[in-house]
Amino acid sequence: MITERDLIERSRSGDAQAFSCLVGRYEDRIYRLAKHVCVGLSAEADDVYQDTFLTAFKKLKYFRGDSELGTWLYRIASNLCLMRRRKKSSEPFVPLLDRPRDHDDGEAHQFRDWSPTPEEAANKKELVEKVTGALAKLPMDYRLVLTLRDVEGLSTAETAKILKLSAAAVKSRLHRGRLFLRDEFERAFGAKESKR
Amino acid sequence: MKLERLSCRRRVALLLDYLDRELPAPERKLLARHRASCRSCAGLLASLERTVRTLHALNRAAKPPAAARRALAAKLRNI
Repeated sequence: MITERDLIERSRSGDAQAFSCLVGRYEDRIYRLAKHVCVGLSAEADDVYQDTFLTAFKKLKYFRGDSELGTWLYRIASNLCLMRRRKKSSEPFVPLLDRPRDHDDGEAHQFRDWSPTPEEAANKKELVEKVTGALAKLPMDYRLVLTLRDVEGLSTAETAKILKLSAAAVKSRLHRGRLFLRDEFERAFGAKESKR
Repeated sequence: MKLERLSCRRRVALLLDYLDRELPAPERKLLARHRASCRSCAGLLASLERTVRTLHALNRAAKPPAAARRALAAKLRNI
């Protein structure tokens, strides 16, 4: 069986077929990241997906192997998303994120049960649309952290490494982003505590 | 460590590490006990757990469109 290390070595020497095998292993993850971070612009997601692998193929000789290949690819894709954002002037402005909400919500928030109903969960397309819509309201910096941590399931340390942020900065964006999404989900899925 | 004596900010930081399973076992046990007795912290954790669970709905198979895959394959052949 051909190992990933073999495929990397062969790709380094220009073997496009070996590199295609690597693309096959990682393309779903990279496309998913691009789609959620460049939310609403499918052409951008397609471009980020293609450019990530083209960049990786050209720069594979610089990949030292001290991190997972997947982590390295996530970093390239994240950088491409950020570069595209810089070219655009508009970003969602979310005033709540500028306020120090890190330690609120203890007593003040009414903790309603807004979980998607079994019917909503079963209708995955609609559920995904609602969740994607809420995510789209956040600035890209937050979408990147939330997608890497809560969608892709990476650790704080891995996310910090990919985005070249401190662990504290990742946690701060994660918490503020989650509080924002919690309120959005509450509105989207409605308060159902009286029915339970 | 008494959680009630910690500043609000420090307590929330610990709760978040608990939520993300990034606490060592002894502190994790302490937080679990605190959660069982503190309505406010239990409510915050439950609402954030629901948020993370809901967001995780996006982790589904996401195949790149066939046209994008073909375009990438063609570009790789021409490098």
